[in-house]
Amino acid sequence: MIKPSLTAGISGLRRRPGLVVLLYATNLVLALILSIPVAVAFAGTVGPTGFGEDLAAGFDIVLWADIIEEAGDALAVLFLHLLWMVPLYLIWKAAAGVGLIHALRGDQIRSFWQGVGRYTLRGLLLGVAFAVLAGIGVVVTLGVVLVIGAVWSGPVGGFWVNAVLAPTLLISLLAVLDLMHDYARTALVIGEQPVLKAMQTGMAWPFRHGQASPLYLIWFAPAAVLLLLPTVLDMNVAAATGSAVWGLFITQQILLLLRAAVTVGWFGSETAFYETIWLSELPLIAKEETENTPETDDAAPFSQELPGAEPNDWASA
Amino acid sequence: MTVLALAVPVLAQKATIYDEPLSERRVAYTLNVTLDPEARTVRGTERIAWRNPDDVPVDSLQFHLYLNAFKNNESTFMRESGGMHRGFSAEEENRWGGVIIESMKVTTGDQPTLSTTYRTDDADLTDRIVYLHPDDDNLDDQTVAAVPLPRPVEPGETIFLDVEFESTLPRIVARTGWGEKSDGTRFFMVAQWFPKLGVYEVPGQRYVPEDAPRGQWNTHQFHENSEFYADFGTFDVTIDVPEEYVVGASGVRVSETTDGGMKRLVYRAEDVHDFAWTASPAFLEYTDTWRHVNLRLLLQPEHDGQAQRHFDAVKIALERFDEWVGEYPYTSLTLVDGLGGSNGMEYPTLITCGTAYLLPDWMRSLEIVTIHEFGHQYFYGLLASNEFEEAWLDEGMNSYVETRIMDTHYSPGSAISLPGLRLDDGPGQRTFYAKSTPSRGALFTRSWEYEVDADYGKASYMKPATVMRTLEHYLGWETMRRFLRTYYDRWRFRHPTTRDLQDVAEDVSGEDLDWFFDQFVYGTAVVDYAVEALEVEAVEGSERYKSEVRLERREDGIFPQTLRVRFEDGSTEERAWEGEAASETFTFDKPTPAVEAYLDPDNAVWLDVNRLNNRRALDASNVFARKQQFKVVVWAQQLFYLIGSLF
Ligand SMILES: [Zn+2]
Repeated sequence: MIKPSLTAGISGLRRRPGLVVLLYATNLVLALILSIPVAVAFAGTVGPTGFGEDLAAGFDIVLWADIIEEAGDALAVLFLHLLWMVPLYLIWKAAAGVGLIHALRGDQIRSFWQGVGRYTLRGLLLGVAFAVLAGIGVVVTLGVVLVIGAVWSGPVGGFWVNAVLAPTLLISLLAVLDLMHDYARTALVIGEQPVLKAMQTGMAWPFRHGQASPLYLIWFAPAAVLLLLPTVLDMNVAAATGSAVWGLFITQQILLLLRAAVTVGWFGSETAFYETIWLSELPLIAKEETENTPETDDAAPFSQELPGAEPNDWASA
Repeated sequence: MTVLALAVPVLAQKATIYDEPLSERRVAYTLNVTLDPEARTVRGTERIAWRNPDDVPVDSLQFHLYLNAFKNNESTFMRESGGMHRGFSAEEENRWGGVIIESMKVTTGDQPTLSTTYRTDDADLTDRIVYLHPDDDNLDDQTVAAVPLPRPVEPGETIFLDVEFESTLPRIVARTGWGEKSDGTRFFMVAQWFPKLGVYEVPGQRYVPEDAPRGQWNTHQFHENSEFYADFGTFDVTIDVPEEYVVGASGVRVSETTDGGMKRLVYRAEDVHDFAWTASPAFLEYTDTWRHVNLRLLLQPEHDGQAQRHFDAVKIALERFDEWVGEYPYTSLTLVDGLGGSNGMEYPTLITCGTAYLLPDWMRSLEIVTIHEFGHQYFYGLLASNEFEEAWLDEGMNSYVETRIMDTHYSPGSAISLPGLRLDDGPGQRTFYAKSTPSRGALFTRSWEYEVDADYGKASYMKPATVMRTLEHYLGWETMRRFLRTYYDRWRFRHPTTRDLQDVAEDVSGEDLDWFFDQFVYGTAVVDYAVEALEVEAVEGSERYKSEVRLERREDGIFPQTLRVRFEDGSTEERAWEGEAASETFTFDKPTPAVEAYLDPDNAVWLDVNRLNNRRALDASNVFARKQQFKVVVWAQQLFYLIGSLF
């Protein structure tokens, strides 16, 4: 079931490239807004000095200290902007998540914005619930790390516990919660489940369906690589001239655009995976929970064909 | 140069490369001690010999009992540090230390019969010991002791004392004490551990006036920020430890025997002013050689694999100090990888380094600490300035040479070498000085008299490294090197002062350097010159341009400046400015307009606390601001994707 889900994700990408552009563009616009005070500060402090090219060519702690001293206040604004931008982004991401699922579900073309309008509030509630879970999970994990650290102390133990075990556990925990959150959101949109029920569905999902985790990891890998590559490039490419700086930036943007594509493909795959299972279990669910029968919107509740089985058919729809 | 003729055992290896004494050897210590790892004590006997170097009789002796700084919360050290120093915390068990003098007697019987040996019928001095508080009125501090003698020691006469003492080692604090590894293995850094004579300074020595009627003891209490000061001499030290302990010590090992589960090690050190040792069953031992020096490294097992990094670094230091400063006269050097706060410290021919498990190559802290602590064999060891009173002479001069070695050998990235982030040691220290209230804290300050505690570090390490690098650029490296060599030649095995160092610099350079030392060594002058404006206008009725550069001195420090002006046609002109006035204008009338004014274009004046304002260009490129903006954009996009993937 992994392969059809992957295929469905990729064909969803081909079908809805606009979603990729939308995700990428909102990120870029917010980031550009954030960068304006930085650009102004650096242009003001370094611009007239003539040190610009030297500083672009390599790190110079002496000049950097002078810059921070002079432009520190302007740079602090950057962090103030993050205070409103991060919450705003999280709301957007909750909306985009449900919008994507709605838009990518299998039977026909549906409007991303319609999904946003219909499910954002519940999507947000779900996000908050998982944030609380993540908070609890992080605290518990750190507690476990502390206990292990107390047993395995000393410089060697300290290294493995703090620098290896703790990050691995935290990343694993967050990845598992993210996977659960993905399917909870899908249950919310496609299954039309109420928030708490959707949360239950999501949390049970990786345990009930063994292929959910490999499917997640298959998308996780390129997502992580594409997210890190711009930094690797930045550290290793000494761009000191205007054209080199632009060249580096455009390359990074291509990578980040691909990263947005991975998000869309990822959602498409998981949506298809969910639908496949949902369709096969639907009669059972419908019998048990008639009150929760998914309401229909502008289409039949489910397609006659299993989504993903003939992706080209519904891709062309 | 009279030398104490003590019974010298047959040496397996000479302690120095010379047959004759290299120092005045006013003191000699013979110690026989046993380490009790369970009790964390070192106890035994000490025979101290001291020769009166003065022209008048001296009626008392003064000692440092440094370990008493860790005796309780009432010592000056603990009061000043608030109970915290290099990882020492008040809650630890068995944290306290101290030294108890069980008895102190004038040696009566079996010492070598010198015609000038001090004799008395009233030999027991134990009850005569009193504590002194030369630096404050803290009656509870017991780190300086005085012993009034039954009769004075005559000029040239030598007094021998037999002391029975027990030193309790504190939990590692201020570089000394015991530590425990996570598997329960003990580690001992036995430093500042025995009753030790202060320095009797004769008239004309250091700051005692030439015409003073008599010399005086120079002792100071152990302060939070202070290090040490002692006279050159010889050490014959016999150490008993449990058999499984690996020991490293100052000097050379004369013999090693094992008997009944205990190991007896005999060491001899010559022409040094302290003796420290370390013991732990955990040490891995490595050896190497550099020319005449036997190198020995005692490494924590978890740092196995980093031995070569230690040896490489210390050999670079040996090489450079030999070339730039002078010969390393000793035949041994022990490098110790200790625990916690015992690391990063210097003792004669023994240094503690310090690293971390799996320390990556790009992090040069291991090289920096090894080269720094080795450098103290010169600035502290051989050039034995008073660390209490003039810490910059040891820490600062050493930091200067350390940064120079690091930046010569490992630059770019001599401190941190990551792609995209290469940080050099010297510029790092310069920046620390420039951005930590540079107007506060003179180099020439007694270590416990800084108004703000943190200024001790800045004024003893980073600022002097910056001051000396600036002096180097001012005098030229060849002159600077002659200065370092002459300072070494003139003052090795003695106790130089700031004044002596300035004298050498002036002799070598042939220049009165009061202006420099008064501002940057004795004073706190701050240097900041700036290009205030660059203005160009076409001269009417001609094809010429009038370019005007306005320079400003923005702080009180005065330092000669070089201005380089670049013109549109690519030509440049340089102007010198003595930098005394608050501002200065230079005007250029040329057929081409100026496009850039650049003060100190060769980056010679490291003391300048703001380099960014040294330059103004009319054709400046905006590439840096654009690059930084793009960095922030990408960074923010990554952040959004990351948090977005979680929620
Ligand atoms: Zn030092």
